[in-house]
Amino acid sequence: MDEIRKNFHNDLESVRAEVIRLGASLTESIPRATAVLLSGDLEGADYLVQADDEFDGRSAELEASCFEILALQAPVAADLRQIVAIIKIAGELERSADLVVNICKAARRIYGHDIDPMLRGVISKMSEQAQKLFAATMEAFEESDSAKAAAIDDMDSYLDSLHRQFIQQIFESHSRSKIDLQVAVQLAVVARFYERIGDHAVNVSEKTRFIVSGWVRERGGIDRYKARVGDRTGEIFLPRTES
Amino acid sequence: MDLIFFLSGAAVTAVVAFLISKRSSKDLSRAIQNEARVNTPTTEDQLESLMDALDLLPIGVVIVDTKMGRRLRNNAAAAMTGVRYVDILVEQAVDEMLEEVKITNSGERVLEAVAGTTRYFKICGQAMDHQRFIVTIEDVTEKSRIDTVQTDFVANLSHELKTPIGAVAALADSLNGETETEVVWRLAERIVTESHRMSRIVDDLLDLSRVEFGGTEEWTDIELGPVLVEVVSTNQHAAKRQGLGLSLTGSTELLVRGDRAQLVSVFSNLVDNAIKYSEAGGVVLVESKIEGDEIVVSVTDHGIGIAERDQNRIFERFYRVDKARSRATGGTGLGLSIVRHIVLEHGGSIDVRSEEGIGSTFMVRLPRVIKQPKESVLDQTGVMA
Repeated sequence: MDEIRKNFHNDLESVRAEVIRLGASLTESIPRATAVLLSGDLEGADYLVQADDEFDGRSAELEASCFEILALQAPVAADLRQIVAIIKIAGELERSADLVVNICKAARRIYGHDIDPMLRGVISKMSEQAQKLFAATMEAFEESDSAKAAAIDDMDSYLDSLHRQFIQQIFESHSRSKIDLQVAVQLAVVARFYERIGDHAVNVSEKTRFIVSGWVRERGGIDRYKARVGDRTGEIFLPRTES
Repeated sequence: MDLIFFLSGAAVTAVVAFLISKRSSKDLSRAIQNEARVNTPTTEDQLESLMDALDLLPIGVVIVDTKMGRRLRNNAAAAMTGVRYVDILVEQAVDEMLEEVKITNSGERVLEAVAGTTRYFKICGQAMDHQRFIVTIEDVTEKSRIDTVQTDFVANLSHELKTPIGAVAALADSLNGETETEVVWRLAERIVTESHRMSRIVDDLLDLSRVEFGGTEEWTDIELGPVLVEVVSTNQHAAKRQGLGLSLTGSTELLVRGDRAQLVSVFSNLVDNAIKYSEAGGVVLVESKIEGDEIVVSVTDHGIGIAERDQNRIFERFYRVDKARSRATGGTGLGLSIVRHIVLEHGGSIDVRSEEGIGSTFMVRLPRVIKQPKESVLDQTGVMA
């Protein structure tokens, strides 16, 4: 019996370790993609686009390992929360890596066009903030630190404000004829990619809080609907307060 | 670097000694073992001293013994960079290397990781036997940087000289057999321009080596205020032509020891760059102040700024952030390199703070000469008495 639990805990530890490794390579790929974008490095873009296939494969394997643990070990309580959360985190990481690839693809599309230095400055800041967010998110996951995880949302507000500032800057640059329309549109989309990466980091940090304390975010619309119809399902993950 | 080799050598010796001592202890008789147990260190003690020795190494060492199910890592291997996610990537590369050496016996790779700037780690794996493996991790960022600087220097120097030489050759070729005076005149003028360009590059290179190998015999105490006034007034015209404001503020009594002409060239270079990379309507500000025993002169512009990845490299010879733009502005690519050398030679330092689209500030710090008050000098020599 002991041996069986030992295997289970080893399996759990190895999926956790893989989440941490995937998180690290994602965090590292953010400044890499920014360098590709700002320097028009097409070779670097190809490298990152191809590296994403491996990332997809690894996150699919991670999910498969989680399903296997669910099926064979039937974990309960904190272990169950951990596995369920990791399945969701795998998806968030995979999606974020896709956004990094999207930045590289945008770099290909605007290749040869100059980017206004003002815009370059804000892109660097957004990239730095997105990277900081993911680094902090993954640290919170690794250390099972729900307070740190709770702080990620506030960190994301700064990225959101940079996003707004960037869009404003695009309009200004375009009106001063510093960039042409095609580049302006591409850059607006790029800014959105960074902003979305930040949102995924927030999602991962929410899953960390769920693992540690069972905390679930207020679900606005769903809760209102359930209150209306008197449905009380979906409350099995109590308690909702931080422990 | 020698120290690293020495320490790595020491570590290998320690590892070998550790392995030999383990093996030979098997051959000892039980009686000797019993007696020895009282006086000689146990395997655990040996392991501890080995780990203490390994912890002193600047390179990461991971030793895996699959038979004992043991994995040892020294401090450097546990936290290679201080950046958590980079450490995780390094750990992952070590794991991959361990898997590789189980099959191939030895392996080597360089891991590239971006954390602000790009860092490089050399990861080497070696199998000791079928069950024991060692992996070392060395941060080779600085070494790679020096390699890049050297390679780029040769490539850039060749390129910088080849461009005007190629132009002169082509122009001379066209000149040969040309009879129309106006064309001859135009071609000759361009040959002169290109020759001047070459000569400027060679002059700058010579300046650089003069600074590098120059002595300090002719140094005098120099009041930096008038130097800055001179620099600002000579550049005023260029600034006006670009539609820029150029102003000077700051303290007086800025006394430094050095070569006046060289210091003029430092600040001229910085102001000249600030003007070149600013857009019309901006302001270039030269500011001087005293901070403790240092004089700080900063040159600030609100121009295009310098990307973070370039900030470490702009002081290299011939390094250009934007090749097309720099050539158009007529630089030789040596200006900042000369500036840095002169400042270092004067016992100072130079820093850059810059943000793209916001502007740049170059800060030069020079040691301040503090004049002894006359009275005390006289007191000491006893003349007053």
